Amino acid sequence: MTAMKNLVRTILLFIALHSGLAFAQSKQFITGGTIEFEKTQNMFAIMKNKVTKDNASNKDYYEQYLKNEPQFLTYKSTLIFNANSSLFTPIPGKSIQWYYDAPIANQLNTVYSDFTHGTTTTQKEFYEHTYLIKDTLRKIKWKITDETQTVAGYTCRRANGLVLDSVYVVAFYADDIHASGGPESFTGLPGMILKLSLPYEHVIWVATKVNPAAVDDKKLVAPKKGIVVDYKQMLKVLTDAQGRWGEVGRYFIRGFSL
Amino acid sequence: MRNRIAIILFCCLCSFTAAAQINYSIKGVVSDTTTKIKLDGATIVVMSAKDSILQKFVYTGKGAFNINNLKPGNLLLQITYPDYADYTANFTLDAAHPLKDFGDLNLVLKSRLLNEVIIKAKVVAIKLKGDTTEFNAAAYATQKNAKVEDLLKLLPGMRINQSGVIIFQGEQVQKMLVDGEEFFGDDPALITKNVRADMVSKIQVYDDKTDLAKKSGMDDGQKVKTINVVLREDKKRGVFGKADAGIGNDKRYAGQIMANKFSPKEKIAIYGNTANTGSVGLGGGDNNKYGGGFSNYSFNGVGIPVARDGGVHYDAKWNKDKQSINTTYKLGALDVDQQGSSQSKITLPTGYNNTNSSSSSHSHSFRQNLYADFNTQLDSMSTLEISTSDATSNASSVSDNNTTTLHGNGVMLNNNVTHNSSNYNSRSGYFMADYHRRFKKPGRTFSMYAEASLNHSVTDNYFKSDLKYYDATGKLDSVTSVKTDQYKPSYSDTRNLYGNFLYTEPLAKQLALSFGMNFSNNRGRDNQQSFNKSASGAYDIPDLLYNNDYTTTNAIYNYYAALRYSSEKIIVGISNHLGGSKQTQTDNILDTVLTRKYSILNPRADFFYRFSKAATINFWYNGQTQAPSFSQIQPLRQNTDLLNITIGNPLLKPSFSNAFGFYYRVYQAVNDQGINFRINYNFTSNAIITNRRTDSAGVNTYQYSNLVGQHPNNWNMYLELYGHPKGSSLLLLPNISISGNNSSYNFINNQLSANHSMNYQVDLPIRLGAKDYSYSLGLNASLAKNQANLLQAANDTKGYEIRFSQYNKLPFNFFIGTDGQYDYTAPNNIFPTAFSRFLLKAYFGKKFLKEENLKITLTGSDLLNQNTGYSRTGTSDNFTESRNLVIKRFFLLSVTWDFSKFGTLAQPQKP
Repeated sequence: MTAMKNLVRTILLFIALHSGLAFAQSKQFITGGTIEFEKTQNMFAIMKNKVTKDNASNKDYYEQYLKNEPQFLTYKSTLIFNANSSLFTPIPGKSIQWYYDAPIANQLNTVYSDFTHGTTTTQKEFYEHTYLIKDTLRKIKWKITDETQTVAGYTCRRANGLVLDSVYVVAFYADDIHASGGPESFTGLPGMILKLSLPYEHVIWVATKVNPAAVDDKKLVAPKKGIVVDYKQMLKVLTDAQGRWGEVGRYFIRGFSL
Repeated sequence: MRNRIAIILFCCLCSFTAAAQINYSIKGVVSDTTTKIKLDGATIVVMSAKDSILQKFVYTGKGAFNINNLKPGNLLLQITYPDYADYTANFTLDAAHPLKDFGDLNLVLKSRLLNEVIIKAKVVAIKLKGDTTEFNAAAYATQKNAKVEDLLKLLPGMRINQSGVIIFQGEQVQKMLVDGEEFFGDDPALITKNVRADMVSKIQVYDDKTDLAKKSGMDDGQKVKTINVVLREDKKRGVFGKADAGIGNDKRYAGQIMANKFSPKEKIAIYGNTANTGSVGLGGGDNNKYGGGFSNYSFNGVGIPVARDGGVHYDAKWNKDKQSINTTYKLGALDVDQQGSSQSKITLPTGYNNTNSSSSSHSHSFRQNLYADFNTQLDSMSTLEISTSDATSNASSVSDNNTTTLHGNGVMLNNNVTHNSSNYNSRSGYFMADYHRRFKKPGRTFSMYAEASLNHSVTDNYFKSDLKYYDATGKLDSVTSVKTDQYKPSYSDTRNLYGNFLYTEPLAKQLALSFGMNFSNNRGRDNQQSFNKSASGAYDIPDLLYNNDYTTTNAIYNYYAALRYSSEKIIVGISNHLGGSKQTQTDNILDTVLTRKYSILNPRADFFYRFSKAATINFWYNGQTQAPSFSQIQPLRQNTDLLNITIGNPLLKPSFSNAFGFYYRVYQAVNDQGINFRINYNFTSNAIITNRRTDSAGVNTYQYSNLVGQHPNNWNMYLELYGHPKGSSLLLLPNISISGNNSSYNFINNQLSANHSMNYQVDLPIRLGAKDYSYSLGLNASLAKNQANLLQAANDTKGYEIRFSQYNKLPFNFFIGTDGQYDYTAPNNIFPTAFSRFLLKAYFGKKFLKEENLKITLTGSDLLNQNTGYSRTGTSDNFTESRNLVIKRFFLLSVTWDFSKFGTLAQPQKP
């Protein structure tokens, strides 16, 4: 279906270019709609991240997981957006046995991003607490590449990024969608991110469906519940809570921060 | 429109740069190369030339773009438009050239990968799921070859006392399951001592309903504290077990074999025990499921036991788990020798009497039972479960007793010397069928449940007694003194039937209404005869005074309705039983019939609320009609204890009890800390209480009556905090329990005695453990304040207890450990001397083989030889000190072999 659409589009473009017809500039960019994301996580690798020499019990769990549980788990989420803002909402899925769990394997955040003011309101679940992070949009150092890939029928350009100063991100964004959003709190590219992978965290988000029908602005509201903090305070909460675990906690803090 | 957005976006992105600085900017127009048509909405991206890090972006408005407030330096411009080839150009902005054009230059990207430190993760230890507390076994380090028992000891809130009883947050655990299924019935010992700790993934603790409530669907408000041991997926297939043999001084020995074969669809297990150390195969949680008599003749820590028992368990599922079977066969023999003495002070309104008694007995019992349960899905909507059990019990005992009662001033009142020899045989059977049907509408169900049980027991008893009364001056009164030498054969038959049906209709998605009815019909016959010895030496002269032959029936019916709302956050339920009961008691000798009718009311309500993922509260109320028992209305006439006689009260009315409970839990996974808080309160109206009348000869006559105007009530509170000091893996579990008996009542010589008591207890357990060592220390202080209006002196008891245990792995696979408990009870008005006892056990041994599964251990039990069998009890009615023969210091050298082999489940591993 997608291939068909692409073919049609290519033919049309071909005709447009070669016939000199002037409808290329009337290209319709998308400035609003709904995107369904699917997050796929490599649990084998995530479990392996939790195993070290001095934590033998996790090794047992890792081996047990290898034997009995699926390597890949997928979760769904939706992103609604217009040109000025977006709201990313996870859809609860099959819960992971908590002893296999890691923060990165969860969908912890409901993210409202305001591109006009460059601010975000992120509702974050941290164990039993719910936090509401109000801050500027997260700074991500994006490097644009010239590699492209088609995602959900849209040609996407690859950008490599660095978030939280150390986490490597690969994003594919669609020039066709003129909104600077993406899954979770990954934003700041000159187009909508339709595929995003954290190679060292072993998770990937891929848009499965893009519905360009404009959404009701009333639905595009920031989450309201939670303890209000900014990113700095949130990090302090995480560090205070899990710093006690020493090195142990860092993997979790990173997962919770993403 | 898009242009405006782009400008807004642009302004916003630029707003961080101070206006006073030089405005570095670029501008241009993007057009189609061939048609020269301006491209609207093209993406203009400015990156730094060095590393192509994105600086700013904007979309063209009618082909034009304009980016202000850029940072100076070497930059890269990239223009993209769908289906057009990218345009890129390097350019430089500096003070001399604040506005720049771009040339045709391409830039090669280099991606820099980051090396990450792989960090180990810590597992969350506890999770609250509904009313279940779930422990993650991986969070608690146990030794190699450890059993579930060793794991349980590490869990916060869990305690195993000396007789093997498991206590969770102050309440006794009554039932234990493996993967939600019964294993050897529901005897906890066969799970805790058998299943390996490394097989366990989770331990779940919850309040279950009774079997009857679960099967009938009608909530009776009773709670059964249950532990479910969830096995790890990769340990569900395998063979494991252990063999243990030990020999000690003083002819002590202990031997144990356990073998299990598990697979996901089938479990086979077998065990055998023999020991005279009082430690294995005793006091297991054999419950009433196996019928009457089974719980008699058990070992309760007093005396010297010799136990031999064994059993087989099999369960299986097949046909896509549509059918399953669960069977257990157990048999056991137990011999107990007891010898003891006791001194009691019996309270009287005018003072007190003293009673001294000494006794000895030998008993032997042999019992066996078979239990089988079959479960089948008749179709996709209905299930049928049937189960049956058959149990036999044979026992014999010989006992001697000598009891003397004295006035408070030391003058002799009476003396009774008895000898009893009896044989007891019983057999009981049980049959149950349970049918459940669901309908297309979710939540609509219909169920039918029926059970029948039969019990037949026969006792042959030879009874001799020599009872002497003394007059006020302490001289023998030969006129009233009685000698008895009788043969007392008796039999008892009971037949119980129960049935119910229940229909549940969902009123809304989260609201369900249930209604149904139940009925039961119980019939019993108790026949007891007494024969005196004739001149020929045979027991052939009937003693009609002590012949009893009663037939009792109790027919009960109830209408039941319940309304239940359940959502993720809130569960609310209310229910009520409303019905009646008709009791008849026929005296077949005197040919009299006593008929009584009661109405029955059993309202209950419960409420569950989840504040957050971490905190929940439960609240419940249970009201219940409690009908008097036949033995309270008309007990069997007996002469086996003429100093303590119970007479009936046909005027007894039912009592009604009201119980309230509250439970608050919070657990913070982040810090592995939490709080458990529980309060229970109950009061009884029309309470049935005893009246003891002690006559001038020292004979106690007991009779029951309803208490009018007063409501006995009691309450208890339990608070437990647990957590780790900052930066430490030490586990602290301070807990406080306070219980109050605001007022309980009994009559003594027709005078009402009101008793008040308060018990305070503070406990501080501390634990520290890892793979190679474990230490625990518990400090406990308690204060009991008792007051009764008939007592001259207050009976307050103070005491403390220190418990500790230690285990260390030593080099060369040696290990050493100790378990100790020191108790101290301070003197008080009743007992003028303090009581202290220090029980110390130590063991030392070596492990062999790679898996450390062969072990030689030398254990010294009660090293200080302080297990004297001494105990004290006190109530408002009497105070007793007793001394019993118990197992004292002994050493045991034992060899233990643990074996385990677990298969791997076939699942292909992807890289």
